[in-house]
Amino acid sequence: MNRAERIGKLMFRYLRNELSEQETAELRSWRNDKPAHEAFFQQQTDPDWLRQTIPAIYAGHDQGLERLLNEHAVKRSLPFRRIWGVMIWQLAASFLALIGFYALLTHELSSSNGHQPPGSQQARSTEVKGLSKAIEDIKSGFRDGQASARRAKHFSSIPELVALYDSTASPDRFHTLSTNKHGRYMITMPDGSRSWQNTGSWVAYPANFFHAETKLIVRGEVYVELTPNKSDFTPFEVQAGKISITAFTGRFNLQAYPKDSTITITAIEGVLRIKSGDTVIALQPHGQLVLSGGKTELLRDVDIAKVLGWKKK
Amino acid sequence: MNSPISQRIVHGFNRREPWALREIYDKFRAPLFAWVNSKTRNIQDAEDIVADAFRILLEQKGHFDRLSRIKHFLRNSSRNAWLNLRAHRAVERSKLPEVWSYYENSGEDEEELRDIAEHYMKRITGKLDRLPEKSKQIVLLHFSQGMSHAEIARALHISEKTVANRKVLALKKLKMELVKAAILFLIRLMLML
Repeated sequence: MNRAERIGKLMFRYLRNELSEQETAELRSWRNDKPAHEAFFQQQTDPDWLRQTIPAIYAGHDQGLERLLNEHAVKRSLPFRRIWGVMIWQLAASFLALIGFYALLTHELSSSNGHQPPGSQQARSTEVKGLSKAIEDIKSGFRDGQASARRAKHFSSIPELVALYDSTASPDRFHTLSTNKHGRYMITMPDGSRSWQNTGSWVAYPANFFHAETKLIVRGEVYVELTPNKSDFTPFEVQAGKISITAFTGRFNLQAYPKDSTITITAIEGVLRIKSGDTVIALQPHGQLVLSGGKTELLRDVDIAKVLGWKKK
Repeated sequence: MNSPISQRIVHGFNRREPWALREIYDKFRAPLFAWVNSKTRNIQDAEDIVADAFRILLEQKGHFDRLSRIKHFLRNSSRNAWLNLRAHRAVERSKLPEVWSYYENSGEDEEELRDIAEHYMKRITGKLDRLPEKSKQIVLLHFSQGMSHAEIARALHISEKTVANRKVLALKKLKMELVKAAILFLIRLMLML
């Protein structure tokens, strides 16, 4: 029996007034261990909360399952749509294969565009899609494994996307999202970390979040809030050109538009480890690192509100 | 978590078989709902968040290799939805008792607390599930909606005496001392008014 199971059992026995002296001491010791433990214990054994929650568990259970199964059954019972979907897939795949073959023959693929991201080798397997296209795909229910996000409820002025992921995808597969000069978006990742993307920015994020490292590749401006619970998803790395930022927790803003020669990194909470070539810098909260050409400038106590002004526009 | 039965469920779920979906729902919904409700303190919000978490799970393109991955996916989805809701509603922490704000800030061992809550809730619902169906209904109707014996008797088409007897027996079986304490507290409150 592991610790979680043991404490769960003790709490249950406490409810039933069945604890022995030894068990009482054991539970007391766990409760005293951290304020969060005591708060959790109080909340979970609060009679009013139990009175409200336990009946609700049963009340909504069957209805919820029925609704879910019905919705699922409707989706599964659309054979024509599925057949058409398969045909469209086959046509699309053939078309893409032809284009790919043509591009290889004419050697135009590598010299083609300015849209390739920094570290583009790792984003190679993903078609670079505009956000509007992704949104249109989502609206029409089209899923190609690269439409990269699900539109979530809008709770704020900045629309939110929930990143989808594929637990079987290889580590070098990335999804991409780009915003035009009017659009700003927020992506919530499966580990709870969030990234706000400013206008005219491009972000690639992993197709699979279950690898040892979560990595974002950025061209433009992003503000990142890492989830406080990173036990399953450490560490978090953001790459912009030759700069890489590693963090385990906290919040930071990165401005790295390719058209500017300046990269500005601002630590808001938590310490950032910034690597530029062979140089490694630890940036403390409220510190700002400005990299311009070959010069590096370190500022302290910067005005965070000013840095994040773009988020509130 | 990686027993042959779990593997079979995961395999079935990856093919989106309704029976596997039902298994996963039955297994994970109660602890997920209890956790979300401890955060939202609103049954309807908790219902919505949990239903959305299962919908998002079903929409996943990829295959899962372990049941624990599915559990963590549901946990993360519901956690994100709760954080969004909180940001939207701008819940003022200052309005919460100090003890809650400690809990809110305990990100580093949240996973362990969720595991504990899951085991704890499993034991509570396990006990309730072992009650005869009618007795379970009586207990739930009584606690959730504060229904009187007469109202429960009408709802379940049984006599008032049966309701009273079954409730006493069920409570004895449950031995939920704190739930009884809540009733005593309410009675005391009523006497004071």
